[in-house]
Amino acid sequence: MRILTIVVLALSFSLHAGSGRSKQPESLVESFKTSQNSVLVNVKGMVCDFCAQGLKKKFGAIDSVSSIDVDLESGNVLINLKPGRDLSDNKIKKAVEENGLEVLKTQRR
Amino acid sequence: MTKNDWFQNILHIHYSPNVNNSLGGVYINMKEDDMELAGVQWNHLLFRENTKASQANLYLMSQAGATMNNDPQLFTNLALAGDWETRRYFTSYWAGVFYANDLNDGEFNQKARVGIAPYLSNYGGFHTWVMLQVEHRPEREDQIILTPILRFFKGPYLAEIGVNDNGDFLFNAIIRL
Repeated sequence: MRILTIVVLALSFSLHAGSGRSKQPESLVESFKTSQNSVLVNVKGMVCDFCAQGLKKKFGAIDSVSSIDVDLESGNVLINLKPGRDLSDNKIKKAVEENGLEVLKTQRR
Repeated sequence: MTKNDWFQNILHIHYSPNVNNSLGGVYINMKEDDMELAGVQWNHLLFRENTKASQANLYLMSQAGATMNNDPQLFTNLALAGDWETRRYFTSYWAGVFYANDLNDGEFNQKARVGIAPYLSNYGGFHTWVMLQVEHRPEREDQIILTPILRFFKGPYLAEIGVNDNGDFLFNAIIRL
């Protein structure tokens, strides 16, 4: 009975907490479409927050990057670049692979 | 990282110089054997397979150190661990051999887990997993132990709580900096 109570309480709490979702796939792609200088990277193997955190940390340390958004559902990482700055495909590939993941596709605006 | 269950309390501190290796220190209190251990740990990623929707890993895990008492004895712990996960499903398997000079001449144990996420949360959200762990310690009186586990994580914090079929609590936590 004690175990059942704990499980039910924890599940109720988690389901409630989980209802507050972060950015949806459409909005990330929309952000890319309306951005001025960004790269949308589709990443293979990014299935959990811990994988995405490593990528965010890695890209966040690159000087030309202004911000990063992640969408686990689509596997997309949106890299917003500082005005007038660039980030090569090779640098993106290297950063992703150093996190144990793989680049499927990149799109630029 | 801390792991606490009916058998032992473990504290790990790790640093990962690259994606393939993780080095650290470990303290283990083996409650069942009334033994405290301290040592170093090296985890090595042997294999990783990424797909669009999943990731599979195979790790070699090794620990070496000494018991913390008046007559310190060397110990080693060698294990192979594998996992496969999608955003919805999780499976893992761990098999290891523990050896402590004069105290334990090589004890095999293994664990397997299956899990499911009852809902999918996106990056930065509150993630929940419902898991079942099966633990097999063939040289112990209670050879097979089942533990239902709830795993929660948000951002850099992960916590697991569970109660096994003997009523013993499990609590694991990871903070990833």
